[in-house]
Amino acid sequence: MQGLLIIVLAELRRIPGPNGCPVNHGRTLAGLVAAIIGVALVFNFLSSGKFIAESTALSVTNLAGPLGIIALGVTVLMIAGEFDLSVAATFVTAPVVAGLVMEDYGIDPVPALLLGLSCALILGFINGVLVVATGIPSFIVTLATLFVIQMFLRILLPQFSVEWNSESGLKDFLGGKLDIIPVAKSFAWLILLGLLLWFLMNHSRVGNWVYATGSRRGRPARAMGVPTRATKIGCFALCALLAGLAGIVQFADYGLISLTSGSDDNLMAIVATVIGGTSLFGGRGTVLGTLLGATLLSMFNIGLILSGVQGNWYFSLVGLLLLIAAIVNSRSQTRWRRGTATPDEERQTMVTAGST
Amino acid sequence: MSIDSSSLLNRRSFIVKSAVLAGVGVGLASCSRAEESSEPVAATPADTAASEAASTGASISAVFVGSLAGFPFWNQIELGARNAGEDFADLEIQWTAPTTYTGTGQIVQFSEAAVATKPKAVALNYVGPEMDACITTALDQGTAVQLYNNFAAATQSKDPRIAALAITASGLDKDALCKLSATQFAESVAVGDELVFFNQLPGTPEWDGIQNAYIAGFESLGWKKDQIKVNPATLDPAENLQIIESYLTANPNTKGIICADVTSGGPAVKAKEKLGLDLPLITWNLEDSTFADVERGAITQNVNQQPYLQSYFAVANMYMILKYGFVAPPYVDPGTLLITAANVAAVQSQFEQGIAG
Amino acid sequence: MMGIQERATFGAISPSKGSDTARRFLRGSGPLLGLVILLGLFQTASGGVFLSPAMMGATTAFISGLGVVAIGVTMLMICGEFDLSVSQSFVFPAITMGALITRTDTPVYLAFMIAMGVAILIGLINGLVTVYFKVDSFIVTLAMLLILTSLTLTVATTNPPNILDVSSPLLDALGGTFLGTSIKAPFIWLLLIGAIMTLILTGSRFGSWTRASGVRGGQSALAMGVPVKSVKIVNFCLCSGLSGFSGIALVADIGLARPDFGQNFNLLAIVAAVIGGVSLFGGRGSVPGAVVGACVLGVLSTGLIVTGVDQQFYIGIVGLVLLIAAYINIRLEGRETGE
Repeated sequence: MQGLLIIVLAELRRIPGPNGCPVNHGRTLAGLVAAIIGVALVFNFLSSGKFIAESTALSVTNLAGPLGIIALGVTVLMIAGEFDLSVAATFVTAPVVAGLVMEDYGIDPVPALLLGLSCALILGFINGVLVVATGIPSFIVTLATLFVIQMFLRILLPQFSVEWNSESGLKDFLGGKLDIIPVAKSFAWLILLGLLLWFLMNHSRVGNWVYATGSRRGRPARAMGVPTRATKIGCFALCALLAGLAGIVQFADYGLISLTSGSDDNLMAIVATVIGGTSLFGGRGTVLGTLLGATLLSMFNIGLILSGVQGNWYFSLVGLLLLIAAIVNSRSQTRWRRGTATPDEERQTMVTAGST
Repeated sequence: MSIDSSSLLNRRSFIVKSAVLAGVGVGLASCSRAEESSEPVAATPADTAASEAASTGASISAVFVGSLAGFPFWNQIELGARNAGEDFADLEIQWTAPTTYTGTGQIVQFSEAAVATKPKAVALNYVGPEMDACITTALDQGTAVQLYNNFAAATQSKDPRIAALAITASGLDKDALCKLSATQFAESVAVGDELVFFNQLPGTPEWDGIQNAYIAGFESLGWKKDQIKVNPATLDPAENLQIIESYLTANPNTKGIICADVTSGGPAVKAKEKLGLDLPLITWNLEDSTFADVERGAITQNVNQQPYLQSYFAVANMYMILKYGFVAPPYVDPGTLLITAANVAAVQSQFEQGIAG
Repeated sequence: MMGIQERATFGAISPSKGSDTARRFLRGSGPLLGLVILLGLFQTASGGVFLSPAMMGATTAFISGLGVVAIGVTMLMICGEFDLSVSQSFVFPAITMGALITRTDTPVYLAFMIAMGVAILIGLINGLVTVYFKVDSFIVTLAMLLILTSLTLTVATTNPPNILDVSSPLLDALGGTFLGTSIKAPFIWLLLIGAIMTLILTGSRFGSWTRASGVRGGQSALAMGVPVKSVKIVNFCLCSGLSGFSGIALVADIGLARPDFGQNFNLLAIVAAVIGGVSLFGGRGSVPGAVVGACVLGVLSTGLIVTGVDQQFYIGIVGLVLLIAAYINIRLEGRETGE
């Protein structure tokens, strides 16, 4: 147990930064864990002991699961230096396609879900190719694709929602809650995916490519021979795939998906990612941070209700949380803004990048 | 320096551009004004109506302006309007509505566009005093105006013509509707019991209106204002499930739940089940699972505003004015249907036919 | 000199004189041409109905409102920053003003000044946090948007302030009709503000400083002695202030201050600015372009309504228009991303 802890801590310190020197993600992560514990205690006090309870754990993990899975994709993409504002639409598209195909054509769940996921993957590819081929900032491209996908969803689903009615083992496998601990299955999937992505990002060449692509607009990376264009397209595809997967997990758990499902998640996924320490400028961020960020946000949502705080204040508090987190994170960040480094800093980057 | 010279160039080109724009604008505007002056008032330009409906030689053309398209309640409104158009042989109904709600300004935009095509009549949802300007335009140009759905606020308009439109509207305004619903619901709870209303779109006139109407309705039955709690919810059913569950856990004194759409009503049923609570529940609008839920008592009362009848009778009223010259056809209350276990079966067949929602 | 370093870093193409002029012309007048074409299209397709006075009410209200916001957003984008909180800067000051007038007996002019102060304060906070805490403006203004959302709902309550019965020369000047014609005041304000801001941007030192601050994050500007931090903060205040003014004018016109006014203006203003030719990387943009962009959006939405295009397609079309406009911008800039 102790050994595992030491390994984890060592890994955290070892995460490479954009110029090859270890960046202190540890401070952000420690801060998040402290925040989670602190927030839990505060809410428990405010709600007269209702917060630290089994039902709360279920509610929080139920919210954090799909949100976190979307946020994982957004994180990887942001590390590569791009945004995807269309995740909310992809989140709905995959289960809608799967649900319609199961309902109208009686197709089995497994192929139906795979079809849904493929649609999500294709949407991600389209985003990636558009961004890479035209040079238009991803913020704009994915805003446009968000609108276009929403239009198609409206046409595809005039009945507004689709149910997963059939009893199926797959449905129970994906949704519901774990038996041993009061944690929603979607959260368990989040952790599993998080582990996979963590391995990908920190112990594989592809992961290095992603970090490198996002650093300094990818110029040093390209100089070193990293296939930045392919990496970016891959990240867009991964982001959309994860969003679609999140939608399918929620579909399995709740049993229904409607056009307005996941409408908050677009925004909240970005918030969770930024709270988790991922930089908007690319090249920096952690899977664990995002996971903690998503958990923290969900804790806020439930905690406010349990504490009897007037519901409309949720947005303000999330905004404050975002602001504080961003300020704290920027302190431990060097100024790797797009093009704000002085010529000296630029030269230094080229040298150290080349020497890795 | 490069900046100065480019700014000079910009200034020159700016002047040129504004002159061009002004010239073009004046030119186009004068074109349309010339066209207008040669047209008699209240004539119907066939071009716009033709783009939507086939020109079947219909003698009366009217536009029905919805507030939303593609959502269950509004799909029913649209269906009612279109079917009425077909049922009245010499009437042609054009339907127009936005597909997303971005505020009352957009509804006014649509209403104005409809009025500008100079139809014989136009059906409008009176969302607030923002509508006065375009209704005035319509009345001035001879287009008959028919209000549906929301209309009570029109009585407060300074223009007596607009206030009079409330008398011939088709709809059961929120205040009366919620009072009716509250009165029936009071049979399942005791006066003074703590109730909760989940407001899914706080800040919008529609939802805030429903919230205010329910509170006023219950107050008139003997409740105190702070006994009706309000909690926000989202449009996402899965998220609402967690919200409602948490709320009920935090507020064990809750004796009744009010939801005004299926996206909070459906989750409310599930939340009750998960917590093992048997609380009276109001939901609005219909979805597949609603009927079974009403039958087994999970939903105490389902409010159906009968949107199909609302728009159907709105069109019928328009027809009365235009074809038969009735100056003031009656106010039509499409009858709020409170679906309970007693009458659920009859409604289900209508739902399956697609004419109830 | 700055010019050489810029070009080397951007890897910009140095085209021949001919295509450079053509590019300049297209960049400057492209949006205008697009607008004129759209106007012509819709006018023809609707049988002359489109440009009738009856149509102009809601469309000009939309354009007047969005246009002023887009002007502010453009100025900010030129100096390299974003403001996602403009939709709340639009509505929160107006609701504050309405609440002050209707619930406490504050005189109209005082309520107006307080509201404008609130609007500028929002921008000041945005600017200070962005510049001094070095947080990306995207995040700061997103946080501000969220924070203000709750405040707006709380102040407005479920009975939004209604100032229909309040008569005041200030309110008439802000939102009434202009000197007895049927043109609404907000439209005049749009033209006035547009003219003033264009002159400031193109003909004043502050304008040059704004543009310089947007290039490469302001590094070169700093080297030249431009007070980049102050310039950015002022632009943030300008952006929020203009949005607040626009919202107040709209509320003065309609007489109600609803919390959901100007809902999507933060994204639409960016779309308008992009259509108008602003560079997404800072340093370049035009105020008249932003106004034209707002006109295009207003014309598009109303035109689609009038010509009976199925409303399902509207959002998709806006998305496509955005893509095309952004793509044209990029091509005209000579691919400065250096991909």
